[in-house]
Amino acid sequence: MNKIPFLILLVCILISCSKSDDKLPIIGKVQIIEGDTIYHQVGDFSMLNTDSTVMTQKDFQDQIYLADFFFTHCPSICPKVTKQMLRLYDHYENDSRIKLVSFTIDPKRDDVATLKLYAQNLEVDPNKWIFLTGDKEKTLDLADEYFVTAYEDPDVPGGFDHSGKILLVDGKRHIRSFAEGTDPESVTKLFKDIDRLLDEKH
Amino acid sequence: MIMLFFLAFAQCESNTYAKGEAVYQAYCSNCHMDDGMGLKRVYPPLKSDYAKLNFNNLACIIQNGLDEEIIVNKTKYHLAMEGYPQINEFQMTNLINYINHKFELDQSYQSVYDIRKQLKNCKN
Repeated sequence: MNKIPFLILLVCILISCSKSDDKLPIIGKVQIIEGDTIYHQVGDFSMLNTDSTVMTQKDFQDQIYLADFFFTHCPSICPKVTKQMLRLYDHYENDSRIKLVSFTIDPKRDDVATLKLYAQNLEVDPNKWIFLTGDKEKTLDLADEYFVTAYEDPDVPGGFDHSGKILLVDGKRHIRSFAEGTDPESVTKLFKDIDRLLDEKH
Repeated sequence: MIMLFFLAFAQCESNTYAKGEAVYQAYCSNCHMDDGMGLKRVYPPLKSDYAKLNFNNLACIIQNGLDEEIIVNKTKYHLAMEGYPQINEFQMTNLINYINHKFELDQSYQSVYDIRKQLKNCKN
């Protein structure tokens, strides 16, 4: 009889323990090289923002950000993903610990001016939600490192086939969570992961 | 028996625009969204003065696209919309009736003959 309260207490302790230590996983292939665990990191890039300033991965060091790959002429999934990015933007608008980054996979049409106008029409601050344009092939390769499928296909509407993932990246180039940007419920779950990452002690 | 009649009627009623809604989901909702409200100043809302004014030209716009600056509910929109010639006249009729009903553009019901006539006389 006396064991039951003890057991309840034990379970409570275990739950609280696991919660406080419960860090978000690092997504991707894990390699162990000479005893060191190497986690997947997203690669470097060098692209222009809407002020024509070159930005690289170094500009996002120690900066948590949400990333997606899109293009402004996209007639398929992008607008729905953008709507969810906007939802995230609105929620974290005044939280400097988090930024949003949208990489265009169609730099031919999405030059600096086009992206600038797009940001204006979305009524967002391009320093908070950064739009980047650069070399097409490099961006498609970069998408791969963010686990986003993206390739040119003249047979699909808009000319590019790609997935609508929104990725949560920590300040150390690690992908910590993601959502399907076409699914609002998936993004609702992402909010919880973002808050968990923000609560992690660095 | 009366219950059954009402049930059948209700069933029929709720499915009136189902085919048009399916076409809407396939071609329109990505940009104009499920609620037809569009997105900020990027994609214009369908529940609008512009759509109401152009309700007799919507099939043409959908078929041929639109590449000019338009003013919708007092806001300028400039992003081009591509045309969807693959939508046949029957799908188009269902779609137009769904849009007209859902976004309160026009109360009348358009027949496939109306849509065919409109598509034959497109200006754009």
